[in-house]
Amino acid sequence: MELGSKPILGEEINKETESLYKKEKKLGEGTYAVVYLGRHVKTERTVAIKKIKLGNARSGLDMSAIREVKALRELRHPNVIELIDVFSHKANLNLVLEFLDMDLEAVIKDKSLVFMPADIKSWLMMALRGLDHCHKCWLLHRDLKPNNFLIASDGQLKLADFGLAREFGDVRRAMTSQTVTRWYRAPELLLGATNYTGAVDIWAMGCVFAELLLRAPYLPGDSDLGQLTTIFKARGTPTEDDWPGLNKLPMGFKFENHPRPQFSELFHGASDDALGLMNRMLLFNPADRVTAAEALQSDYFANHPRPTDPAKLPRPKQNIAGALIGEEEEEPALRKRRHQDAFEDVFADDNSGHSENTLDPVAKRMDLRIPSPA
Amino acid sequence: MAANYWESSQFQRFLLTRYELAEIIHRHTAQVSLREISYLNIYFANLIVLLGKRLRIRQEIIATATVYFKRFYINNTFYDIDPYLMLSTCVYLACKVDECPHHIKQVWGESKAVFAELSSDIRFLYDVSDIAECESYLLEEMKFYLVVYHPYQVLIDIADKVSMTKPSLQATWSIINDTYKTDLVFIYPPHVIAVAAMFLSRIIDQGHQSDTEAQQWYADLNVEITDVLQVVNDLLVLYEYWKDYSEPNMPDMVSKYIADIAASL
Repeated sequence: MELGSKPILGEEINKETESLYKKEKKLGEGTYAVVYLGRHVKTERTVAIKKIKLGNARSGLDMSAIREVKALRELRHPNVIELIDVFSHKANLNLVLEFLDMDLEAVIKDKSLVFMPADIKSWLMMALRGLDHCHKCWLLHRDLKPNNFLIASDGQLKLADFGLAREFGDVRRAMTSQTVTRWYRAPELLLGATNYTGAVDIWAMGCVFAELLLRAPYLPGDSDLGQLTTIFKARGTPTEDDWPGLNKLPMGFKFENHPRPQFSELFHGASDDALGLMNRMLLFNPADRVTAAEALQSDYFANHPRPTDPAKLPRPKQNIAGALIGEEEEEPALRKRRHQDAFEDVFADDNSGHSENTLDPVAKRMDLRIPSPA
Repeated sequence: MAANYWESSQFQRFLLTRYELAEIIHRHTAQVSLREISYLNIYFANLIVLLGKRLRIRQEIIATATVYFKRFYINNTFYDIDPYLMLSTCVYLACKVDECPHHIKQVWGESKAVFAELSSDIRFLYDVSDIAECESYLLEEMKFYLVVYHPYQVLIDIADKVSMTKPSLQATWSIINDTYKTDLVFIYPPHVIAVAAMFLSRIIDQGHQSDTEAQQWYADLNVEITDVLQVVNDLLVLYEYWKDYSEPNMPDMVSKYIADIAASL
C-alpha cells in the first residue's frame, strides 16, 4: 500500500529509493540524458540508470520525460523494457531501467552475423508481442525503429524509448502527424493525418521486418516529401482501390505513377508466408493493415521453421550502449518535438481540449479517419 | 493506460479501505470536524474547476488534477506546502500528462487571476519557478505514478449500451463531478462510482416509482450493490454539508487552519 504507510514527505521516500542504487560507470551521454551502469545495493542486480537532464528547469519535467515515465510506470511485459524505479536528484530525474546492452540496429549492422529465417521470425515475434501489449493498453509507441528494440543478455527483445508514446482511441482528439523517425513513418502521417491508430506502429514494424531481411533500411527517404516518393517507388503508387478517398486529394497532390514491383524481386529467398505478412503490414490504407494481434496469429508464425530460441539468436561481440540513450542522428525536427518545452508542444498534439472537428483538410479528404477499434 | 483498471497503479497502489482512509485523515486533521474537512474538499475542488475553465481544459484533466491534489495531501498537511501553489501545480502537471500542455506562465497567470477574483485575502506570492519546483515534490509524493482512471469513460460506455437519454447522461455526469469533492476516489474503483452516480440520478429523476426493468439491470450487474449504496450515502452527506457551505468564508478558514497546524508543531 503506497498511501498512508509512511507519514513522511515524498521527498524522504525519494531519498530512500535513491539510496537503493549506486551508479558505477558512465555508459554514454546524449544531449538529453546520461546513462550509467548501476547496481541495486542489496540485490546486486545490474541496472541502467538514465539521468534525464532538465534543459529548462523553469517549466519542470519536459514532455518526453513525462511520456516515458507515464507509460513505463503502467506497462509490464517481457517484451517491454522494465522501469524498475524512479527517483529525482536535485533537478534531475533518474529512471532505473533494466540493463540491456544491445539493440537490434547493431545486430542488423554487424555483417559478420548470418541471419536464419527462424532468427528473423523470433525477433519479429518478440517485437510484435511487445507492441501488441502496448496497443492493448491503448498506447501508441510512435517511434519504432531498430535502435529502439533493445536486446537482453538472454536474447529477449524489448521495446524501449517511450519518449513519443501517447494513448489513443478518442477520435475527437487530434494528434500530431510529426512523429516517428522518417524512414519508418507511415504514409498517412506523411500526408498529415491527425487522427490515426496503432496502424502507424505496424507500418514501422513492417519496415523493420523488411530491414531484417535486407540488412539495410527498406525505405530510406531523404526528405519528408521524398519519403512518400520512396514509398511509392517501393510499393507502387496507391490507387483509389488501395486507399479509398485518394482521388479527392487537392491539386498538387498528384504523384507520379510508379508500378508496384514484385516483393520477391527484392526479397528473394524470403518465404511466401513472410512476404504475405510483410505486405499486410505495409498496406496503404491504415484500416486494412494487419494489427499486432492478427499478425501474431498469421500463417508465418504457425508455419515451419519454428522461431529460434531467444538465447540462441546471433548477437555481435561488442556491446553498444547508445541505444539506451536513444540519441543517434535523430532528425532535428523530431528531436525538437521530443525535447521541447512543454508549451511548445501546444502546436503539436491536441490542445484545444474539445475540438470536434480536428482533422486537417488534406486528411479529411483522404478519409483517414479510421473507425476506432471496438 | 494499463490494459485494464485491475492492473493499474491506481488499483494496486492508491486504493484504501474506508477504515484506512479515515485513520490517515484523522492523523493530520484531528483538530477539524468532518464538516470542515468536507468544506475544504469542496473548496479546493471548486478552485481546480475554476482554473480548469479558464484554461479551457477537459473535465478528465480537471479530475486528474483533483486526484493529484488529494494524493499529495493525504500524506502531507497544508502547512508543508501551500495548497494554492500545489493546486496550480496539479493542474499544470495534469495538462502535460494528458498531452495538452499549457505554458507554465499561463497556468501561473490564470491561477493568480482565479485567486484574486475569489478573495483579496489569498496571497499567491509565487513565481513560475516555484510551480516547477513544487512539481517535483508532487511527482515524488506520487512516486511518479501518473495515470488516473475516471468514472466518465465508464459512464459513456454504459450510456451507449443502455441508450441513456441526454438529460440523464448530463445529470449523471455532474454527479460524477461532485464525487471529486469527496475522498471516494481513494475507496472505490471508477465503475462503482459511475454506477452509483447513475443510480442516484435515477432516484432524483423518478422519485419512488418502482421500475422493475431497472431493478433487474442493477441486480444483473457484477457490482456490489452495498458499495453502490455506500457511495450514494457519501454523496448525500456531501450534499447535506454543501447546503451551508459558504465560499467567501473559505480563504479565512484555510489560513486559520494552516496557522493551527503550525501552532501544533
